[in-house]
Amino acid sequence: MKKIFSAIAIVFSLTSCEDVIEVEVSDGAIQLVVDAFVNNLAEPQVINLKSTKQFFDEVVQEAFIADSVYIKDDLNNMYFFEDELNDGNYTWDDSVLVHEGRTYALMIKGNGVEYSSINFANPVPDIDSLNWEYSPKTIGAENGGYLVELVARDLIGQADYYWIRFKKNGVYDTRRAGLNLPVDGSFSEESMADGQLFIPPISTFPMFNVEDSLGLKDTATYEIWSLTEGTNGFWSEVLNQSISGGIGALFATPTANVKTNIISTGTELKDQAVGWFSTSLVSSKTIIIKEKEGEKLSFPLF
Amino acid sequence: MNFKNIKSWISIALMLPVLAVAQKFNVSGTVKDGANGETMISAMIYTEDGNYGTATNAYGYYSIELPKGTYTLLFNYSGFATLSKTIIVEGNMKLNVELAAETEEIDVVVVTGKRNTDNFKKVEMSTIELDVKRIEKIPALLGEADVVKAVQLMPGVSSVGEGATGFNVRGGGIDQNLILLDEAPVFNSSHLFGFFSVFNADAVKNVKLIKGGIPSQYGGRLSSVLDIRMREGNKKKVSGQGGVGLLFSRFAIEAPLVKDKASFIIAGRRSYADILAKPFLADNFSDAKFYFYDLTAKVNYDINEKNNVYLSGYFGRDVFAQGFGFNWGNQTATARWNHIFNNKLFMNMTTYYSNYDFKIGVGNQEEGGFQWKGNIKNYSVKPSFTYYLNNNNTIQFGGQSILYEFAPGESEFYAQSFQTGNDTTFDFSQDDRFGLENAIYIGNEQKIKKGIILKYGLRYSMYSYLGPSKEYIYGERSSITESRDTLKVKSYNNGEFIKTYFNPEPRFSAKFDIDSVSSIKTSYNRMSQYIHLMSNTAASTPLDFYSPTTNNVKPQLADQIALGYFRNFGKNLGWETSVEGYYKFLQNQIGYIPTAALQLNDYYEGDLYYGSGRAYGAEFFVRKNQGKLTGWLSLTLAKTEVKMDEVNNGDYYNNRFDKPVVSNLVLNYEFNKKYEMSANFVYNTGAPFTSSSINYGIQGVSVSHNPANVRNNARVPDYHRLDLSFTIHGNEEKKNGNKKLWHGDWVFSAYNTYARRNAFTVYFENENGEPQAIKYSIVGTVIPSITYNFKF
Repeated sequence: MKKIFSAIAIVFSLTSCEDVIEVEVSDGAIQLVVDAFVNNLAEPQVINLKSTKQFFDEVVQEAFIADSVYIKDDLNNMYFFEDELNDGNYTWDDSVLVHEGRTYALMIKGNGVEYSSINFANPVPDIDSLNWEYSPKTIGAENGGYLVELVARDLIGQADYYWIRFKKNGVYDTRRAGLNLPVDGSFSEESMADGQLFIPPISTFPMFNVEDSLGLKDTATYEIWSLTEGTNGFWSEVLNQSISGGIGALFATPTANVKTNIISTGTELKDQAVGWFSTSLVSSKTIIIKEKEGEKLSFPLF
Repeated sequence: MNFKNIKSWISIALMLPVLAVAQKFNVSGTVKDGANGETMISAMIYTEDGNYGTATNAYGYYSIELPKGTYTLLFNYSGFATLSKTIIVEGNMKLNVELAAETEEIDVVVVTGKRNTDNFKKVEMSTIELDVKRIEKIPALLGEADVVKAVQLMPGVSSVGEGATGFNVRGGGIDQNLILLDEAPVFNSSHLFGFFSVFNADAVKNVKLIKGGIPSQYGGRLSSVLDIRMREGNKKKVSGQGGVGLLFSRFAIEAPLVKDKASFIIAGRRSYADILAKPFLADNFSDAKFYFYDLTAKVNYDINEKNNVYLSGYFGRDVFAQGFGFNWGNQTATARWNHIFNNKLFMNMTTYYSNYDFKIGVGNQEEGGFQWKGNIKNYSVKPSFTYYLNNNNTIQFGGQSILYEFAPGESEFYAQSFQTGNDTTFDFSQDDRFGLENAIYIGNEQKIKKGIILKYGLRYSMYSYLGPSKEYIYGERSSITESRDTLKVKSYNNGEFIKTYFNPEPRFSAKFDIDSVSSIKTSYNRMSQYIHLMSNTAASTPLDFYSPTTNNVKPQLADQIALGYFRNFGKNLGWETSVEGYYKFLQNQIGYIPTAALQLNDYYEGDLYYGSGRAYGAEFFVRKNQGKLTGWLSLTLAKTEVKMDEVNNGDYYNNRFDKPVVSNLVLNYEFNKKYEMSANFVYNTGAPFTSSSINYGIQGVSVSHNPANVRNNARVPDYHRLDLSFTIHGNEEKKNGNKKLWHGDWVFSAYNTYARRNAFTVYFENENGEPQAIKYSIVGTVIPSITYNFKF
């Protein structure tokens, strides 16, 4: 469809234009946002509770002050999260929280409402290594830069849902377009990729989109987070919110809401919550980019 | 006149008409253009004393009853010299006349007999009639006279913006207009995403838009009827016309086949933007094709005084190709037979075929790729009769039967199978569906007494969702934004009736003269609509398909009441003014869940919401018809809203095409026979669009949210635009006064003269985690053009 839009765009290219404008939108109901992506890493686990904000308000989201926040697993272990700074960051740092194969329940109490959610910790494959190679300037990568490829093999059996996260110099790529959500290391369950190596472009996906490309001495980190099918669905819906600009906007449908797995005991709109609770196992690999001989990308550059 | 009087007149009108006592005879015939033999629609015929009068029908036929005696009959048509005929009525008689185009000299002579009284004298309200001469005077994009663009400058008519297919009438959707080209429906009225209409002005005779008080012979759409009649072709001599413009060229030729008895017209257009743009395109787009073309043709034969036959057809296509192919278009074919049984009974039998189809595809079975095509076909028979009972009662009755075939999507995807590695064809086709619509109607236009006319009628429509379509039965939604679960799918045999609906549709209009220059009119109509355009995008796309009415999708219904005041002023009553108010209530309106999958999805009905709608407004109109300066000013204040349980907490919300203020100023100044200048200025409220109202971050990724499932909660900025044009007319006559064989006009125009960047839509981008609204303007600059038009 994109190609069609670009061809149509030619017709209007001589006359069309785009400008940033101010838009008046009536206020929506403010709700609790649960950002609870906990994992098995030996580092503080943070559940972020905030309030939603009006669409065009350039303010930070306000912290949500809860009476209690805890996670309970199917072995009846309790993990109590505390917000010592009252900034909405509820933290647990006594022990490793997530273990493979366990079911976890999140409980939040606040404002006279109880919020709950359940998720499961799936296994994750190790990252064997990272390859990198310099890619000269091309369409979609105007500056040229290093492409980094992760080498990992999908776990055998069942459909495995992963979230590949990329960090440049320790900072996550948080653009919607950077969401990389393979199934069995490929695009979908139908790809019959079970137990295979992660395929390009999934194995290098974020690199196609990083605007400030990677150079020498930059650190690059890949993480694979194991997800449940539901969490994969959540991120897919976030991804679907990206609207193509230009002529594509003509044929865009209204932005659809993203689902939530937070259940509320409140009935009013303001007592509902948005957001997601996920329990993942994470594997990770970091390199510092340097000039090197030998091991390059597993596929030819353009 | 007070309300009580109006009520008593209505009750009188409902009684059967009382036959006149004095012996009367019938005068009937056709009114034609003397220059080319074209029949004239809505020409006025009246006795000099003004006591008797009528107008020609869509085939140029009239019938008037006169008592024995001597009369001077005046035949009047805008732009033509009024013809005066003195007749002695002693028995029924035939009187065919031909009118000559007015020249300036004649204008002076006949000025006393000629009055512009159509507007307030006719019972029709909420109706706009335009002939092509008038349309040609309006400055148009790239200098090309356009039927639909002209209609959009009238009160009550709007469009979402540049790039939007179709037009909206009194708050209705683009699929709620019954667009008829020689009585065959046209499903997509736009070329090039709404920049041009599919109707070639060279082949069009008359355009009539009916927004309210819709007579009983029309049905099937809620909001309006756009009745476009094609020219028949010159019956006197070979002639032609055309134009060469920057975007496309036109050519039309017409000639008698048998002088004064049979003729034809063929008119074609082809755009060549792709050829002109080629040098400016990047290499990877150099094989790009984008163009449209259309061909309009008509043949007619006057077999004898009582029988005429007409065959007409339209074939048009838009093509976009660049590695892939994408094209769409309408085809229509109409055959008509006019038969005059006697002086009083006129019949028109129409049968038509109409098809809209699209094709899109890339690659082939060997290399991989996909093909997708869809269409909506319909076949119809439509007998209609006019019975001129007497001067006070003209009865129309008839019926219509339409068979619909919906093929929304036949799609194949070619790829290697993951399992076998062989080339495989995957079928993603959507099932075809069928519907049968029938209607019968009867209506009477009755003159109660001088100055009071009533028009009343009933249309009774029946629709069946027809096998071999399937019946889908759905359960509840798990949440308001989710699809319904499919419970059961039931197959039916060919011709089996799956679900049938009946709708009586009363129609009524009335006119009461206040004095000799003004009148009050009122109307009510109920309309039903059995086919529905499925479109959930900002602009309708050529891939949008029509859904039939099914067991799930109910017929849309609209009730409209309207009230208007009409008054003419000035010398020869050349200033025409009107104020109209309307209120519409709509049932079974359609909405969509946010993730609605409408295309190539047999279960699309599970993604629909149903609700009601309302639209109301006031329309102000001033038009100056005579003199060197002509033109009009229109202002529409309106609201159109829908209400669905699942959306916006069940409260009313704006329709996508809600435009509270729409105003147009159209001016034309004729300096002399050679030079002419036109301007139009358009101002309207920006169209609404849907914006998220809430924003939050998850793991640093920004997420948009719309807690109450609201729609159309924001607006693009106001729309305004000025267009100018300047025309130099070539001499039509040689120095010795003889007509030239060929003459041409140069039209210079500037569309969007002050280069306003009118937004079509707004989309959002994330700038450092904050949403940012970006307006997209399709036309953000002035578009100048030169066109050369010729006639021979």
